[in-house]
This record gives sequence, C-alpha cells and structure tokens, in this order.
Amino acid sequence: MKDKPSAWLWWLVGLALAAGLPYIITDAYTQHLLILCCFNIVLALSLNLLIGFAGQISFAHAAFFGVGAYTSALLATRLGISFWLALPAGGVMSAVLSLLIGLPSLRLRGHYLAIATLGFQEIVVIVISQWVSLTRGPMGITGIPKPRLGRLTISALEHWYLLALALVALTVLFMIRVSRSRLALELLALRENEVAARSMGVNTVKMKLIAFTGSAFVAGLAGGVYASYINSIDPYSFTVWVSAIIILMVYAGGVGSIVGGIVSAVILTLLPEFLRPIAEDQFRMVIFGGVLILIIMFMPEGMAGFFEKIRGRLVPRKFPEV
Amino acid sequence: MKTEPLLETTGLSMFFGGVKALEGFAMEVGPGQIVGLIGPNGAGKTTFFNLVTGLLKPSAGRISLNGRVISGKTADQIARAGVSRTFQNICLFGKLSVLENVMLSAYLRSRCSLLSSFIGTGRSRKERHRLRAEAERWLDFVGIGHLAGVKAENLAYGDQRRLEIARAMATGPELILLDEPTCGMNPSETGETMKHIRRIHDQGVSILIIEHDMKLVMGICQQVVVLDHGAKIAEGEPKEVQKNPLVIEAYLGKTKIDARDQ
Repeated sequence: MKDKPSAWLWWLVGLALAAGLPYIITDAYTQHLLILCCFNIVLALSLNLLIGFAGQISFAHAAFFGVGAYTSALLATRLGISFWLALPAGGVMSAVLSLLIGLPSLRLRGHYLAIATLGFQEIVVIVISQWVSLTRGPMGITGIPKPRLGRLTISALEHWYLLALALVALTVLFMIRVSRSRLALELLALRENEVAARSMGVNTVKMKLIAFTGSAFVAGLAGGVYASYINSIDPYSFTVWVSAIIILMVYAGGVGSIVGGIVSAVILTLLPEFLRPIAEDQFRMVIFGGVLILIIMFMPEGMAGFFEKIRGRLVPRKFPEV
Repeated sequence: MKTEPLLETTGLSMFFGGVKALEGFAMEVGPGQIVGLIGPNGAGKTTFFNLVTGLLKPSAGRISLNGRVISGKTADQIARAGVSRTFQNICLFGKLSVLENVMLSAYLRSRCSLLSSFIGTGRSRKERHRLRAEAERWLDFVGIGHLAGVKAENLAYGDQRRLEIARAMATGPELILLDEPTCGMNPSETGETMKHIRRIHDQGVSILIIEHDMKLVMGICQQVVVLDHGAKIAEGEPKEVQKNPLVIEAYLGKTKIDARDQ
C-alpha cells in the first residue's frame, strides 16, 4: 500500500512556506487578502466534499458559513462565551441546520437539488435579516470579541493569518484523510452512479448526510473565525453570490482535487484585487466573469484536470492509488 | 423432500400508474441453482430484477431470501443480505479505476468501521490490503487483472461487462442476478461469459440470468422461467420450455428452428 510519505513532506513544506508569508509580505492590505484567501480555501475545500466527492450540488454553502458566523458571534457577544467554545458551537449549528436541507434533499437530484439548496440559502439570509430581536437584522452584529490564547489576544494581522492558516491546515488534513479512506470510495461511487452504488451496498442516504453535514460543519467553523476576524457581520456577507463564487472555485480548481481547490481559491480571491488598478469597478467584475468563462471553456475539468491532461492522463480528482 | 428455496417470490406485482409491469409473479431459485428468466422485451424481466434488488418496492406480493422477507428493504440492505447484480445498461463507476470499482464492492465485507478507516488505524490499513488482494483476485477471475489501473469508462465494451461481473461477485453474494450479460457480444465473447458463469456456479453461488441468447440459456440453465407481458407463462427445464407452444408463440418461435439445427 503506497501511503506516500513524500506527499506529507510536500504539504509540510508548503505549510511552512505559507506560514512565513506574512513576515515577507508586510503590507497590511495584502496580509488581509491572504487571510481572506484562507477563508475561501476552507470554504472551497469543504464544498468540494459535497460537490467533488459526493457529486451533490449546493448553493447553500454561504448560508452555512453565515450560520456559523452568527452562532459564534451571538454566543460571544450575548453570552460572553469564549471564542474557542463558540467556534465549534457554530460548526455544530451549521451541521444541524444542514440536515434541514440534507434530509429532504435525499430524493432530489441535479437541478431540483440545486433549486432546493438555493431556496434554503435565500431563506437563511431572510431569517437572519428579519429576526431583528436575535440578530439585529440588517444592522448586523458588531464588536465581536477577539480570541484569547493565554495572555495573547489575537489582533495583529500576522497572528490572525496564522490562525486562519491553522484552520486551512486542519481542513486539508480532513480532506486528505477522507480521500484516503473508504469514505472516498463510497462517496465517489455515489457520485458516479447512485443506483449502482446502492446495489453494491453503499448506504447512499448515510453518505449524502455525511457529505452535507461535514461540509456544513467546516463552513460553520470558518464562519466563526471569520466573524471574530472581521469584527462585525451582517446578513449581506452571506448571500447566494458568495455561494456561487465558492462553487466556481470548486469547479475551476477541479472537482475532487484538494490542491486544485487551494490554487483556485487563492487565484479567484486575488484576481479581482489585481484587476483593481487596471479597470474600474464595474469592468473589474466583467473581466472577472470573463476569466471564469474562459476557465470553464478551456479547462472544463478545472485546473487540476488541465494539468493532469498535460501530464498525459486525465484524472479529474486526486484519489491516490488504493 | 423439497429443499428450502434461496429466493422465493409470491404474488409479486408491480404497477407503474396504469401500466402493469408484473402481476402475480411467483417463482423460486434453489440454492446453487442456475435459473434463466426469458421473455420478449418489455415482459417485466428487468423490473423483476429491480424488485428483487430493492431498487423498486412491489405494489403487491412478497420476496423472500432464505425465508426472510426482503421486499421493502433498501437496495443496500439487500446487497448486504447477499444479493448482487449486473446491469443491462452498464452501470460502472466510470471515472474510478477498474480496481476501485471492485474494491468498493469488496468493502461491503469490511469488518472495520468508517471512522477507523477515516482515522487510518492499523487495523483499517491491514484490511485495505486484504480487500485489495480480494478485489485483484476477482479481476483475475474474469481476466482483466492487467487493466486494474485503467479508468472504467475507458475499457472496451467486453471488458466493461466483465468488470460488472467482477464487481458484483466481490460483494460475496449468495445470489447473483445477471441482466443480459452477453448483450452485444460475439459468439466467442459469449462463450467466455458462459465459462465465467459456470465458474461462479462452481463456487456455490446461485444465479438468475436474464438472457436473449437461447444457446446460453439452453446450455447453462437448470431451470427456465418465461415471462410475457408481466405474467409467467411457463417454467421448467430448458428442453421442456423450448417445446411449450405458449412460449414458442410468445417468444422462441424462430429460435426453436435454430435449436433443432444444433
């Protein structure tokens, strides 16, 4: 069985390099962008579990991100609960809520599932913005406390980056463990041919629920960290447009590819910023859209698939030799 | 003394709205038997397979395996109970490799939990080795061991059919349902498939085959059941069924003349 130790080495090297970045790039705005990249990576990877492995579609990922953010923020601001406890609570809340969409979705496929998740996404945003007594509605929640580690309060950008990077590392570890386990086989079988998977003994109900709740949990965790970082949140940071961008990150990176997800999340986070000096606001997003269309046209299997094609074989997802 | 049948259906009916796919269908498969299910297209044969394997819930009637009712159970429960199948239209996991396709089935017999596999415990690793060896064994059984790393969708048609069989056998079934296993095959490929079926039979697995190739049915099956328009019109040993005028009228017709030429 080839559990390549060299693969772990590459990941550790990458992690070390990434950890050193904020000490090389000291411009505050760029550091902020790097932190945003981290959040997007976590969101893209967690959605990949659902789209890439399980083959489901969901427009509700931003909603789970938002539920995690709001849960964590409310627990911290209203009940004074520490960041480190509020964070997993946010994750759990998102996971529980994902069952609300996961259970009814069991019978839905393709476009119908997409619409159902879209509806759920919209409902969550509406509930958050209307339930003023709980969430302060459109005014949002402000003054979210920073996490404390012993005597250190995490407020410096470098420290925030390291915290966000730690979250990325955990998510990558999670995804790697999934891809090397029996879970990956069952999820991929579900993706490839649900009927055949069931006939070969895969409990597709359980698998779909695992995929939904797992991806929602991680998104919820990311939300909790994000809320504390950004200090104030409102319902409009968690709209369907955010969901759409994350979906694009997944497809642009290559469905099922961990490295692809990371690369595309970084590129798609930084791209609009790099376009800023070149083009005015409206054109910036038009160009952004154009780039996405080009990616879809010329790299239908995403960047990971594109590079695999160049290497002579087409593997749209990274599943190591069993 | 009659031995307990392995698979038994009583009064099995399936209605899709107003369409009567199966009505009052009763049949059985004995342990270690090879039974052929024949009939014109649209007779309800694949519908019957879908009912047995749990992809459909019967409108009426019952299906039992080893005396225990399985109709109404989910497909994965029935697979775990020991029923496996191949598909008329090939349903492989296209983007997975040949080996991965069979490993998935092999995992049905895993004794480790999902969690231990996720964590990557020593026990789960050892088991992955074991299941991988078993999967490779089944690939060799059908003769595609050399294609283990190839993506299933890139296989030639005949190899895809063989992979379907290997994948179905890797679940360790007591009963395997083969849905037109020689569809689209030339005579030599059909002969190969007949060999595989005989070897599966030698392992003690019961087999239920839907087939249109009469040479195969007459050559391999111990019992034949004939369906037409959702109802059983004959059953018995192949030679008797072949002579049954109802069957000839519904289906065998021209083929009877061919059989006499053998």
